[in-house]
Amino acid sequence: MIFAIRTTTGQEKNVAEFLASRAEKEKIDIYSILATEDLKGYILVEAPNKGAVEDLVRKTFKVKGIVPGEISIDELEHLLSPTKIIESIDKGDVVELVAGPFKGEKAIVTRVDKHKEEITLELMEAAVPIPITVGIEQVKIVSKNQ
Amino acid sequence: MKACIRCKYLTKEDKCPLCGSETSENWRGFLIILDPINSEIARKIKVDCKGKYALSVK
Repeated sequence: MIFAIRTTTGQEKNVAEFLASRAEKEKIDIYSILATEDLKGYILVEAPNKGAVEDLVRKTFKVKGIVPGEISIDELEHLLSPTKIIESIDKGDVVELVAGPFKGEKAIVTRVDKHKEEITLELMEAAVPIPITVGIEQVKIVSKNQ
Repeated sequence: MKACIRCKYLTKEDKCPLCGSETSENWRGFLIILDPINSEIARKIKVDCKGKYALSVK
């Protein structure tokens, strides 16, 4: 059974570590604890029953409460296997640069290097098309090539 | 902390203590497995060792 517990935003990893050491010290039956950037302000705790989670969070000021209901493992599929942006980007897509000297410019993807996670672009508004290579974290997809 | 690029195990070392692969500082998602035998999440991400893991490593 997986339960969501509410915590302070930005403290998810610290609280997860604290709860894990507490579970070990007090021998509370907890299977796993998950803190992900995609789920701000919450931690997921896997335990055999709700009582174990209640024991775990009792008297901790770091936890604001347990969310009623439980989560099935299928609902966590997208969190456990995050698809990389590089997998969804293709040659011909229009992207916008979100960092670096060309921030805010739109460009067309001319080459994708999946291994290095780099893409080569041609700026749309440049008079002379000069290929530039940037890391995948510097762009966001604006529209896909039809 | 750094994450192993192969098994995603989190460690402070430059080499993973579990599989010996290289580690990377660029990782996302934080998962602590306390009971790998009973944990469904551990089974889903194919982990059979207790410890801290990243969900994705670049």
